[in-house]
Amino acid sequence: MAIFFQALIDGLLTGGIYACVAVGLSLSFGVMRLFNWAQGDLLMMALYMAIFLIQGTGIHPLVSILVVGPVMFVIGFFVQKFLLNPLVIRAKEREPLSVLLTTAGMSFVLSNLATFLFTSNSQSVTTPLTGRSINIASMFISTPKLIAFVVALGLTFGIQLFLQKAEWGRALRATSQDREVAQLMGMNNKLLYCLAQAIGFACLGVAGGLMSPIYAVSPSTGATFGFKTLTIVVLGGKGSVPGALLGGIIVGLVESFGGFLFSSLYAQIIVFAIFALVLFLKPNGLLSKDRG
Amino acid sequence: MSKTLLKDKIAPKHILVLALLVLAFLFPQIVTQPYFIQIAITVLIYCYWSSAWNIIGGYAGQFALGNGVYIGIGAYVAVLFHQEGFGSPWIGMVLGGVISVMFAFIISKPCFKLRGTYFSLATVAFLHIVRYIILGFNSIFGMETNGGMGIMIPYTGRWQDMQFGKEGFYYVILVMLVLILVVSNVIRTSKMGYYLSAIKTNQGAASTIGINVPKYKMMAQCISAFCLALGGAVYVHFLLNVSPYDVFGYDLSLEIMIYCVIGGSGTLWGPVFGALVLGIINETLRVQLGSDIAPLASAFYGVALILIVRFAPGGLYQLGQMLINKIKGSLGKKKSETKEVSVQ
Amino acid sequence: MLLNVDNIYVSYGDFQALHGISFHVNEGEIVALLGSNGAGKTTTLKTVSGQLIQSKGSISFNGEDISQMPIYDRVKRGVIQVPEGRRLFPYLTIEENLIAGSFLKNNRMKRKENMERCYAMFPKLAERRKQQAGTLSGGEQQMVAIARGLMSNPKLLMLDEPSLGLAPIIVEGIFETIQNISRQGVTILLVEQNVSFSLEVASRIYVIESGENAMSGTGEEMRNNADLQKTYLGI
Repeated sequence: MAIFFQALIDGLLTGGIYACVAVGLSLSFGVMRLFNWAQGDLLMMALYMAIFLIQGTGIHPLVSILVVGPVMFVIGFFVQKFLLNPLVIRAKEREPLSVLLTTAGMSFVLSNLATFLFTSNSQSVTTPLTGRSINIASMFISTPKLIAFVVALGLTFGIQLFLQKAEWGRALRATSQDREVAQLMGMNNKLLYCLAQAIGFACLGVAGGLMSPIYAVSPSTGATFGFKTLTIVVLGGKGSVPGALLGGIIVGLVESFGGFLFSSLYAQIIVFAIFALVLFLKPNGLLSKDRG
Repeated sequence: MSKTLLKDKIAPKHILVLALLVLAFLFPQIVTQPYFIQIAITVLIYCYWSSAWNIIGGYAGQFALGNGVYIGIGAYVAVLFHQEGFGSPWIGMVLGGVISVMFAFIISKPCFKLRGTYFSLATVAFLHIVRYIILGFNSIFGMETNGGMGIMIPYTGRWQDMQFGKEGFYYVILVMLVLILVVSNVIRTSKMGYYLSAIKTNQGAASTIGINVPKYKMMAQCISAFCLALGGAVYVHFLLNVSPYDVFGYDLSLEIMIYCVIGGSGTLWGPVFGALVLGIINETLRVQLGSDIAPLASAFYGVALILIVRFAPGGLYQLGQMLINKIKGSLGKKKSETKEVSVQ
Repeated sequence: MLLNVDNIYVSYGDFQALHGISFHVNEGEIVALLGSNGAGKTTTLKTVSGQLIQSKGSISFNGEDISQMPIYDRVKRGVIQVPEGRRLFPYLTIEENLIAGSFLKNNRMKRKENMERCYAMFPKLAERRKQQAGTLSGGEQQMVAIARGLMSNPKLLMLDEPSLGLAPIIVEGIFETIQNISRQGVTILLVEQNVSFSLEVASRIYVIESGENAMSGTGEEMRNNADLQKTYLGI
């Protein structure tokens, strides 16, 4: 019984981190139909940043978030401005092929660059949080995971609030629903796209910081998380922040229970199978009717 | 057709192709070091696979990023067929092709209902599912597959077991490449090719004017899957080993797409061009700078892809055409029309 | 002259949609662009608002050349388009749609004030302000679309086929609203297929055919000339 709850808690907490990673992709896909195939590798980049930062300066992982988050924000802004906007702005199709190719190219560049620079060995860092856990009723709740979950929750809540109440957040929602008309309201879609992407990248930065006491990073981290992330986005529905949270938790739970009932490999297969099912049956996500 | 002189029918480019063909066939006789022949084999198989992918990705415009899965299916079926004693790997290869087509049919039917990104994602999802299944189990349907360790193919050296020498594999794969180029050309210049390009341009419009869109997409996909599978079967016999990391890699799937696009997807020679140029660069770098350089080279291809997509979407093929036209122009000959390639 | 469109050529890829369209709109007027389907009316509006860029010709607004300006800069200056087919943000509420209309900084300041005026003009909308826009009827959506346009403090309000797909009674209401708005000092450029209402309302009329100017005249002239009406407007 205790094992069941252990798996439950574990899956839930991990799900929070996954959600953090997926929010950016969901925004990007929702606001500008831009599916970033490099999302996983960008997470890898953020994780490397966080880990090296902590290794080099010894700061606390939570502090690293304050550095890596904003750095990723700026990177995301300019990646959108110079690399992606030119492809999206004047494109005739809703989802130009050039975006797929460019982001797939980015993914290729990042993972290979990482392999070249860091070899395929994994890097990790020991922090004041690593390995710590809270003991409740004979269950071990990993401290860093708990903190990560709380932060991720706060982050997704904050972004959702931003989208609902803030001027620019509303503008993002309007743009995602009808980008031509949004322009007629005076919304500068080039700027809005940069904002959306920047927020997404910043979330990756935060996720990197949160993950640094928990995970090791290697060039294949991108691939591992990449597919998880897009499963979450499809499950949760593009553009939906609560959806990303829900999707993240579902995937986290499936992996946790799958791993404990069968093996982690089976768990992966189940995740993919769920992905395929959702893709064909409910491509707009489990929460289909609810948007932004 | 009225009587035309033979010389009017043969364009300079036909002569070029013929010359290339002769050169290609003579290559192993001229360059005899096994090391170079081995490089050539790798380059050739990529040319072949990129051309096979081009049929669905380039001609039909359906970005099936997960099509690498058929390479794996072809490979495994051929090897297992022989290993379990059902017969020669040649038959296994054909069976692998057939099974790949079956998979393609079953998988692609729902996939084609999806548009754009979702379609590509779905094909990749299946690639991963199959890969994890192979990785996860040590035997499938009672046949030993060794999961991640892969299967070693015992060396016999007999052509009946699909084992030739290095030279042999070179010629076999070269012939396959020629064949797929012939098939591609036939498709390109036939009614099917016309329909596919209409589908590629605007699926909705194509369907309104009466083109059976699902049928032709499926045809292209099945041909592609079949050819990819054959290549997979042959190549693993060259490697004498089949493992999910080699043949079910997402990286492999991505690579053949990248070579195709960098070379010029949707054209006959583009994929060959791309795989050739990049393959040669790859190997040269490896020789000069050691195999640690390989990921850096790959990173550069990623950059090249991004640049090409932005500035020369027709790939190296388009760049080549522009160059040729510039040369023709400056030589005073009548400037041939530069086709405007629509920027995506 | 508030708006001056001078000899614009616009094409969609290889297809030349407009060949040298010219017209102008004076402050306080209601000008109607009439023509059959596909004549180029919507294309013209889209070029004025900035959704399309002309290959030749120029557009000036309030004495300023806006030919190359991005959409949001034109909106800043008060060039507001209410697009064809309403095009509300389907998953935003009526109120949120109106708020979206006043996105720009200077419009935000007048937001409350403008919203009150809109609700006064369209009381039905006030009742349902929290309803999702996608669930409204055609007529209601058109009201929201116009209101949303008003939230942007237009100097020039361009309406693209506001009567499209609406029942005649509703259309009457729409045209009343348009006259109302005009009386409040907003200049109006109207693109319409519904000729009879346009004739009643417009101060001046341009007829466009196959991307070119076919004829123009004051509302008075067009209303009184049955021949003109028959030749160019198929009445």
